[in-house]
Amino acid sequence: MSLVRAIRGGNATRRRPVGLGSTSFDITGVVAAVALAAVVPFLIPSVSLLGVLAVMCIWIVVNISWNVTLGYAGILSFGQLAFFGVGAYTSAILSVHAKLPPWLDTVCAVVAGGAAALLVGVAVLRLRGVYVALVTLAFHELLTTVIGGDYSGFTGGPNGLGPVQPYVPTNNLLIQSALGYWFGLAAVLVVAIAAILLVRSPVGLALVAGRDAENVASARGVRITRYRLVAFVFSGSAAGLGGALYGHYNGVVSPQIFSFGILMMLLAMIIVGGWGTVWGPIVGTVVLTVVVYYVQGVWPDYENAVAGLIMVVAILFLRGGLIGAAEGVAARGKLARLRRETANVER
Amino acid sequence: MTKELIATLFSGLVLGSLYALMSMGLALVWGGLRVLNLAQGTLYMLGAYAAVVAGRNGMPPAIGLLLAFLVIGVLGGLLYAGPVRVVAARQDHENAVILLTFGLATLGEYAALAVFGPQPQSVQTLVDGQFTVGGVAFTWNSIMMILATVVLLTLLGAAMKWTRFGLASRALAQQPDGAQLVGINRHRTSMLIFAISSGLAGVGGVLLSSYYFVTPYIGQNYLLLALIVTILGGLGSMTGTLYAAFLVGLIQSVSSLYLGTRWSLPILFAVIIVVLIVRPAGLTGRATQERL
Repeated sequence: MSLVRAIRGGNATRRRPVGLGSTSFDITGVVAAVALAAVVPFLIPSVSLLGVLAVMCIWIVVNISWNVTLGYAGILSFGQLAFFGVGAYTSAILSVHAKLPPWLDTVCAVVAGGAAALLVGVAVLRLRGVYVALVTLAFHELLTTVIGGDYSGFTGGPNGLGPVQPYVPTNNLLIQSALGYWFGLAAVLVVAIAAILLVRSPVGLALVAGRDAENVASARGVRITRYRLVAFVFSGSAAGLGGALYGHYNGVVSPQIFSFGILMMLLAMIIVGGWGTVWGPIVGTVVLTVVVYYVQGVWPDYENAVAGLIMVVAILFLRGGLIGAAEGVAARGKLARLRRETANVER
Repeated sequence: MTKELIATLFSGLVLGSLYALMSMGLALVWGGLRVLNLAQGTLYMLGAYAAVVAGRNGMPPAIGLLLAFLVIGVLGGLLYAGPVRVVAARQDHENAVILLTFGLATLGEYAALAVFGPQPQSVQTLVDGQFTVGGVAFTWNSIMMILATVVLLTLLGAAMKWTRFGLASRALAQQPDGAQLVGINRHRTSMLIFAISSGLAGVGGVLLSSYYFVTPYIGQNYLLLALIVTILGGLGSMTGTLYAAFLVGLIQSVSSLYLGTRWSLPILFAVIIVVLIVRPAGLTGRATQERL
C-alpha cells in the first residue's frame, strides 16, 4: 500500500489502534481544552505564570510528537531534544544572522527538524531498537558538544545566541507573555490534531502493528521501516516547531536546552502521563509542570531530579502512566457491563 | 613531527584503555542480560569520586582503586537486585529498562552534584614520574593505566572462559530459559555480571581521575564514547568492543592532532553512521547468537 493512500485511508479498514476514545471525541476534547486555556491570560494577568504556561505549551508540542515515536511506533529515540535544538538553532541563526522574518525562519526550523530526523532515521531505523537509542543519544551529545565548543560566533557557543526577535514585538511585558502563550497554544492545537489524525490513520495502525508484532506485521506486507520513518520525521518536524517557538519566546537559544535534566523531565512527563495514549503526554506535561513549579520554590536547581525520581517510580509502579491506569479502570467498568449483559441474555 | 605523532598515538592508547574498561561493562551487561545499562557513565563518575574521597582521607591510590571496585560493584549489584530486576522481568522490558537506567543515571548525577558540588576536582596521580624515549615523554601514570586495563581485561576474559561463573553467564547469554533449565541461578549470575561490569566502570573512573579533572558531568561524556565504542564493536561482543575501544581512542587523538579537538566527535559520529549503514552488526560483524 502506498504511503499517500495509507494516509488518505484508501480502501483499508479504519480501526482504532489503541485507546478507548474515538477520534472525533479526542479532537473535540483538544479544541475545547485549548479554547478554555486561551482565556487564562484574561483571568490571571501574571507575567510569571504566563511564562510558565508558555513553556508548558512548547513542551506539550514536543511531547505529543515524541509520543508518536516513543509510544505508538515503539522507537526508543533520545533525539527529540536534539531535533528541538536543531529547530531552535535554525530559527535563531536565520533570525539573528540572516534577519529573516519570524514566520519564515519558523518554517525553516520545521523543515530542518524534519530533515535532521530523516538523516538520523535513515541511518538507524532498519536496526534493532537499542541501536536507535544509542545513535540518537550520541547525536544529542554530538550537538551539545559541537555547539558548546563553537567559539566562532555562528552559534554563539556556550553563551547562547540572541537576541531572537519575538513573533510580535511589543514593549508591554504582559502582552508579550500572553502572546507567547497563545502562540504556544496554537501550536499545541495544530500538532495535537495532526498527531491524533496520524495515529488513528492506517499509518498509525501500521506503527502499532510494527511495535507489537514486528515479524507478523512485516510478514503481512507492512513496510515497517518506511512507516517508522514517517513517524520519526513527523516528530522531528514538530520538535523543530517547538524549538522555533522556544527561541522566539525566550529570546536566547543556548546549549543549556540540551541538558540531560530537561531531557529527563520531558521523558518523565510522557511516562507519568502514559505513553502510547493520545492524552498521556498532555496530562503528564501539565501535571509535572505543576510539580516542578512548586519544587522550584522549595528546592531550586533540583526540580529535574525530582522529575526523574517521579519517572523512575512511575516506570516501576505505574505502568501505562496516569492515562493507562484510568483506561484500565474504564475498561474494567466496560468489561463488567459486558458480563452483566451476557448474563442477562443467558437468563 | 614523528615525535608528535608518537605522543599522539600513545595518548590514543591511553584513551583507548579508558574506553575499553567502560564499554566492556556495557557489552557484558548487554550480552548477558539483554539490558542496556545507561547508568554506566554515572557509575564511572562515582568511581572517580571514590578516588577523590580516598585521596582526601590520605589513603594510598591502590586502596582507592580497590575501594572503588568494591563500592561501585556493590552499588551495581544493588541496582540490579532492586529496580532493574523488577523491570527486566516484564515482557516488553527492553525500552523500559533503558529509560529506567537513564533516569537512575541522571539521579546519580544530581546526587553527586548535591554532595560534591559542581567545581572540578583533581586527584594526585597514581604513580609519579616519567621517562623519555627518543625525545618523547611517557608518564608512568599512563603506562600504569594501560597495564591496569590489560591486566583487568585479561582477568575478565579468563574468568569468562574458564570459571563456572563465566560458563553460566555465557549460557545465559545464549539462551536464558535453557540456562535456567540446567540449573543456573539466573538472578544471582545476572547480579554478579552487573556488579562486575559496574566495578570495572568504577576502576575506569579512578584511572580517569588521575588523568583528567573530576566533575559530576564527566559520566555523560564517557557514556557517549562508550556508546560509540559499543556500536562500533557490535553490541555484546567483547573482542569487538576491545578493538573498537582502541580504534576510537586512536581516531580521537589523531583527529585532534591534525584537525583540532572540535572535530574529533563529529568524525567519530560520521564513522559510526557509516559503519551502521555498511555493517549493521558492528566491526567484527556477527549477528549470531554466540556472544560474550
